[in-house]
Amino acid sequence: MMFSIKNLSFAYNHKDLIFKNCTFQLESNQIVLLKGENGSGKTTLCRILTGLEKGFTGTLQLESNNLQELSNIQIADMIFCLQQGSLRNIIASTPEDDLAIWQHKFQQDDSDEFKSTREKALKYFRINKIKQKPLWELSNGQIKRIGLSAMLLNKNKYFILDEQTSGLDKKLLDLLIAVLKNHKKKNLGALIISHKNKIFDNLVDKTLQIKDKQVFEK
Amino acid sequence: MNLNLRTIIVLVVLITSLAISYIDVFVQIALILISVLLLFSVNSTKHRRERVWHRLKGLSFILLMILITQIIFRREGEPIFEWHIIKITEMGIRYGISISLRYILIIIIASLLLDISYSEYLKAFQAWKFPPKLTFLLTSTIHFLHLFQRNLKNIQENLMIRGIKLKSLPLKKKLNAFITIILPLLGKSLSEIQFRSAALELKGFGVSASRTSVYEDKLKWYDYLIQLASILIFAIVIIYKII
Repeated sequence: MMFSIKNLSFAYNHKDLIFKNCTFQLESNQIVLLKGENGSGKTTLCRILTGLEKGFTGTLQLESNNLQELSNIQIADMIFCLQQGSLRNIIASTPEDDLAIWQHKFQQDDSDEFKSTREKALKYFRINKIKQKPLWELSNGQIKRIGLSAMLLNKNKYFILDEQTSGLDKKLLDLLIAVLKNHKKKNLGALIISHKNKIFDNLVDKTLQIKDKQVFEK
Repeated sequence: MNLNLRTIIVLVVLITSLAISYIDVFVQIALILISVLLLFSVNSTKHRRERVWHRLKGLSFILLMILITQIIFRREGEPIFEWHIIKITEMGIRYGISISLRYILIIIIASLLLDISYSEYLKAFQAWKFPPKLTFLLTSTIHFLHLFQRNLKNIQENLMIRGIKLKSLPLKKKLNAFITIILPLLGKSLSEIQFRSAALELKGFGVSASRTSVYEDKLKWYDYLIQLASILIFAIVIIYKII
């Protein structure tokens, strides 16, 4: 079990409730598609699961640990998350620097092994030729691909992908699907938020829907 | 009490002007007390009060350093204590305390202008009949601060998601990390401004000399009263200082 959520309730600034007593589970080896109308709380749920939003009630367990008792470092060891909005996933000036941060986390020195792994990741999502270009000279699609390349550096974690399919052409979508298929083969799971539901038809094990402040299986 | 933004701007300008005009410690304390009163009474929120407290706590070390530097390096005035090159004077102590208090005052009073939307500023400056281009220039600067703050928050969250804790890094690596993060943060914020200016061009900004507005910024009777009273008090205090 990756996530076990019981009676989850959440509201921003203690105002309108976004979730009300939600109970559901996310298996560590399942690909789950999360659906819901705009503003229903899909991104908020991702933020709660990654520890970015703490003010919820109920219990949320990540691999049998109480999520609120885990540090961000511990959560990041188990989960890889790409947030909605391509720029939000980037902190460095260039694609290569950004991927390098995923690897060394400012703690280790860069190594040949790191360089080789990240070169492969950059090449897979076809951004190796622009790897030294500054962020502000890149298109939205290119920036999105930096985030996607980081998936390949975090292969062994549970993926949370919030709206990562928008702005991708057919070829890139196929590449993303291939990464997810490979992930599933290794018995690893993911939570995917996307409005392009059909492309995941042959991949997803379960579909969850957010409606009326509740999360239920569809 | 919900005051109009124009009244708040007037109060902030007058209080900061007085703080700059007077070096006297008691005046600074009095202005801080007025600012705290305003913080608790004008459009007050718990979030804003907590943020001011958090900021004051965060900057307390810098404020202390300013106080010490002023006390040690100001040479004018009657010496109280002398040892080698160190000379502590009565004026140095007065300046040190006064300047530190002035910074505290600015942090408190500036908080009144936070959490106000860009459009509110736009309406306020339009109501004062500022030229549209100047209005946009001023509000864009305010908007840039919000933009920068939002981008900074995104980076903090991104670091959390990656499991990076900057505080626990050794100093050299911490500096390296800050440089790596700050440059794109500025780049991102500036490039967003470029998009904004392109959007403005496309909307034909500045083509017509006069503009109309759907929403008007109207002052209530108490806004007039507070503005008038504060300007009068300010004028009296300044005249008294000159005489």
